[in-house]
Amino acid sequence: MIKIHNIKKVYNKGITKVEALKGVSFSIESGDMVALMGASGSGKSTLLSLIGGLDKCESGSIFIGEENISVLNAQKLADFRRDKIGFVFQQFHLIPTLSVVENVMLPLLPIKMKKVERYQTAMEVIEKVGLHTREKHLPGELSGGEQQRVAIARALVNKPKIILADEPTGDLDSKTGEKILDLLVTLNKKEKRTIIIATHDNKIAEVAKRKIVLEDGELVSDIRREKL
Amino acid sequence: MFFEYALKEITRRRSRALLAILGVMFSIALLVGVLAVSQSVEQAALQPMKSAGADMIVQLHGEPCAFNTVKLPTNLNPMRASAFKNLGTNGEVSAIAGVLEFLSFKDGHPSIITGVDPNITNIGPIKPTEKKGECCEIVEGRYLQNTDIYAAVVDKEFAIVKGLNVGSKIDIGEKDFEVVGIINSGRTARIAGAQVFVPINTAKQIVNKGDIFTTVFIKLSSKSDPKAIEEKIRTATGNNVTITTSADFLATVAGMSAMTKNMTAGISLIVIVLVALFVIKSSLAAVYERKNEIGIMKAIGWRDMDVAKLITIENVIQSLIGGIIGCFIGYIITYLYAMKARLAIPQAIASYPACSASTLATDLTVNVVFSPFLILIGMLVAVVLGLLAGYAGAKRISSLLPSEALRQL
Repeated sequence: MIKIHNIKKVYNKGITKVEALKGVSFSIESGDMVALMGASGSGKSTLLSLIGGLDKCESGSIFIGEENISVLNAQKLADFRRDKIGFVFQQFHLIPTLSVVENVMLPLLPIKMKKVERYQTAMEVIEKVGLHTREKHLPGELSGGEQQRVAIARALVNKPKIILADEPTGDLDSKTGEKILDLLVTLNKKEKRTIIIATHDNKIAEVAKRKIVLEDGELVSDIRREKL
Repeated sequence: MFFEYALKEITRRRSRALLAILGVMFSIALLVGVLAVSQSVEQAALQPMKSAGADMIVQLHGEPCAFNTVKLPTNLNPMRASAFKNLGTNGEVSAIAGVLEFLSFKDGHPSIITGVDPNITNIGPIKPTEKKGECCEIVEGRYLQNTDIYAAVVDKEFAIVKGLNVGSKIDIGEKDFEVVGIINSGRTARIAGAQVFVPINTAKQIVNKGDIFTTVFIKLSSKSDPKAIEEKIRTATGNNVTITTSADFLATVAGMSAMTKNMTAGISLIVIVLVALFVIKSSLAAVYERKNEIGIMKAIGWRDMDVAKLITIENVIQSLIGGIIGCFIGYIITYLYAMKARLAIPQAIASYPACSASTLATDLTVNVVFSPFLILIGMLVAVVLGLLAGYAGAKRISSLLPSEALRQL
């Protein structure tokens, strides 16, 4: 379960201070699929960063299970991200010199495990996203949809309970976007992973179980699917 | 996989990697070059003392004596042999040999003669040997014996110029000497080296100045105090004697090189510091360029030290490549220097006339001394440069917030 309580985040831009989040509170049940919506600058990306432990809030608390991640140091936050979170980015962010399987193995690299074991773990998730025939290809040799699948495989390789996706279909055509969305829905339904997607895409909101809308750093709407 | 990943990153960022490699290569080449040259020069400068098997050379320098058919070399005056009789009686000297160098004129041309003790072959101007290619190989005939009187061993080159063979006669001080052997003393400078070697007692008779030496070779025992020995020699011979030790020899022969060495060592140190700053800057720039990528690594759970490890491995690989090429270039520089270098035995020790029939070598051969220790130093400096760059990169990495690096998120 994710419990967010009264979190505030301020960015200093020169002499001006921008309040990105103004005391947001809500909870997300395990296995939920949430669409985080709002206009650009509404604070959804900041919220995703804070839940994922990429940034720290000025005040408030974020509990992931029993752990308050807003008080963790950099090292413990890194461990938290490695064990509990999988990130999927809009622009895929794959390492261009590494092959598909090497990109997927990347999160496992700092972990002590046998090379074969690391490879097998990576291949399992590559197979899950349907790219087992392209394991040796470089990202540049793949289509946008395939690259995003690799990014999803990379997010899954550590078997995280929570997947945070930032505009995962933003750089894809609608057909490919749909396939990626189907993959995320499958992961949520079959594997009971908690998925939070920051998006502008209404199609995602339609398939998500819950839609949270932010506006100017404040939560303005929180609707469950049955009520959508 | 860290290593494979680092290698791929180096290949991807070829220009930056090449620049870093060149920087390290340049500094290591300079460092290894300077140290290898000075080592080689030192070896060359110490060669005459080493081949004489001596730690000390005692001579008495003074005004040249009047012209005669037989005379002492230009600036060497006689020293009484009796002054050295008690030296080493209490074990402070492990070997001692007095020799008498003189010039013998025939038809206006001088020949350089050295009277040596036939019984002493472990210290002195020549150490006769049967071994091929070694100094001083007896290429024909035999070496001097205790019973010889008017017998001579001649240098190979002198024998060729004068057309001498074993059994030939040679006029020294109006006496006929029989050539009993021909030796190859090589073309490197030797202390009290000569064209003809004769028994010292015969030499003393011909020079006719009594029981004298012109040069005395002394090998100290391990427990002896060189200063005390010097004092003892000065007391016995008078204060005017010149005592040359290995250290003096080095200072005289390679004095200029030592100064240049210090200067160049200083410059190479500055270059290393500049290169260190350069590789640090290069590493910081590489981290900045890869800000986004580092953000990804951090986002997927890499700790700061994991990213730093990767950056350090990359820097160390680059430095090692630069170091290996640098060591190689350093030795090429040394080899080129050795080919061109001209070091000569000090004039005070080799007072040979310029107009003799065959010239004696005064040049010292500079051979490149290959030292694994020096390579180790070069590689160590290269690795330190790589680690420094890695450390600087790591500091920058830890100050990077993943969210800052990933503005898109």
